[in-house]
Amino acid sequence: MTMDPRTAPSLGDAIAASIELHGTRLALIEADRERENGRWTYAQLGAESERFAALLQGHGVAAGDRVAILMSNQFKWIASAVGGFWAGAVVVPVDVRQPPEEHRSLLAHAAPRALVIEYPVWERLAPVAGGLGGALVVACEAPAGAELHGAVRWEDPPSGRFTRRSRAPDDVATVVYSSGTAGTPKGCMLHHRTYLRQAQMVGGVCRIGGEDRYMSILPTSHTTDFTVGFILPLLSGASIVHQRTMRPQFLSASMRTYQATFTVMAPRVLEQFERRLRARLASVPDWPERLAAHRAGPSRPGEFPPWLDAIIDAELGSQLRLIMIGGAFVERGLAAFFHELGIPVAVGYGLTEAGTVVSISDPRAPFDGACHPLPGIELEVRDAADDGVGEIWLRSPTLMGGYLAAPELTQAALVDGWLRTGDLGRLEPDGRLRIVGRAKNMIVTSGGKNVYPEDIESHFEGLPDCAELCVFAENYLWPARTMVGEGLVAVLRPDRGAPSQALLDELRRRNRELAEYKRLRGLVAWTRPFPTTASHKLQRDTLADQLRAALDRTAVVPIG
Amino acid sequence: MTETFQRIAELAARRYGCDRAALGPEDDLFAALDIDSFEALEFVTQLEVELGVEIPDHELLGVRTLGQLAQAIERRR
Repeated sequence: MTMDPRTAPSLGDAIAASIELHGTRLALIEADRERENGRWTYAQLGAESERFAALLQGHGVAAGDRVAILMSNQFKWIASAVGGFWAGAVVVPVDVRQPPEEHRSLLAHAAPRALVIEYPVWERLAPVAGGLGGALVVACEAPAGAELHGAVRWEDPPSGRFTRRSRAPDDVATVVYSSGTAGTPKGCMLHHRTYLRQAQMVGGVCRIGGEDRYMSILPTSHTTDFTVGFILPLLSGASIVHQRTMRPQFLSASMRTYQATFTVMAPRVLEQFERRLRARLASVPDWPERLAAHRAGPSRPGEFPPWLDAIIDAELGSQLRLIMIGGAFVERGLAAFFHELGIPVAVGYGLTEAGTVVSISDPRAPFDGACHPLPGIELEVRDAADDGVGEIWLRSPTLMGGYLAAPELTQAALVDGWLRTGDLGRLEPDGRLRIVGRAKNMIVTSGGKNVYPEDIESHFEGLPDCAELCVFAENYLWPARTMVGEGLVAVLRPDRGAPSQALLDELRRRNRELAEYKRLRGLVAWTRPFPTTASHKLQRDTLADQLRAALDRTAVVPIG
Repeated sequence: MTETFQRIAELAARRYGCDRAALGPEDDLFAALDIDSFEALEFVTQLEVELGVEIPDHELLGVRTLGQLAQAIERRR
């Protein structure tokens, strides 16, 4: 008897049920630039996932073991994750776009039993990996005769037989890192029921069905793409398109070639599409008026005039019916541009800790900054000011079980079954959630990355003529009612007097070494010793209080 | 300075209107051209077409300077 994917107890069971239901349908297309590397039906995905699960089991991977995946978006990513679930493993998706040192420290924290990795990434990681605690390393796409540094090949035939391991709804399905490498890695342990509920919640709101084709633009290691662009399509009988390069022109070409119907983007990527669309619209100088005239005429809703149809088709394809914006917050003007053109954009707010998506704006309405909470999510605004703004707490069947190997962080985040989000917002009279700022010391970049100041401090250790240095999110030091344009500032105490030229030069040089999204925006010079505990641990919050009392934003000097 | 670097500097100067002579291999790609990572990817794609190479995204990880970009291209030529 076929199980219903919607009532299955675990992700592995739900995906197996969906494969049985949709066997001959297209599950995934893998493109690399303009080439198509391959396409796989649900049945073929099932066969490859089973083979990979057998390979894991043949090497001793057991139910409950962690299996880390470190790959760019491609078919083997999905087959490895499904195979991992079927072996009963906990899947740990890791962002491939990090330097080897960050991969090493994150993997040291995750302590996986197995690591699945693209060979070129492994080639760089292996020399610094330090044995990975004896983990099995499975490298895919290694050239013939390549030095494998102790890895086995993904493509090798499995030595053992496959036995599907069942999991319960409350078992941990994934560990998803919401931040951090150097200071405090936050590995959110998410349960099988979390994903099954999210698929129902998001699938219901976005009406994803078997005819849909999802264009994967975010890395699938990102919690939003994992949930909305991997689990949701596969449980719905929809197809996924993976493009191995993140270059905007090829993403656009793939959306067109494969007639994508929905996608999730970070605001940065949507801005790229806005730029490209505006460049094409420049040939139609009176487009807003022409569009308004068309709408006033006898057109059907969702129907574009031919001149606009051609422009949208050239950038986004002709079948796109929903762009979800996740990972970070969106300028209203950006959403308004797409709304004006008639391209539905739904802005989502979420946190990995909450199981990913918490609320989504109505894609048919112009975005006004507020989103509808998904069914089953309870929200509370605590310690609200006069304008109703306070810290958002939430309760939901999709909350994480806690952070992996970090009981203190877990205790601070989960209190009596409620998640403290660290975000500031208020509830509108109609029940919608409006997020207006952050109460926590972090930023989310417009590329959708969480950056915690603690994580980048180590990069500035040992600056010349500098006694102490501490990094803060600017909007944490001086609360601001905004979620866009967030930046980081370094507070530094020179050995004596004002910062020396040597100190400033070295600070600038090191800042440029950082990935763009991690760079400091400005610095604040401070003369008093930083407050510390008896054990000489920096009291970050006390320092923040002192800074707030003495200075305001104008004290920040841009680093340039 | 390699021939590849010279070509990169020429194309960058033309594309972003900066002074060709002021660009050196040690210069930070993003700061010198005043571009973000997306624009950098678009620029690299243009370079690939002009120079007849294809560089996988992962080989661009960690590339910060114009000289490093030249090396990444040379490895593929």
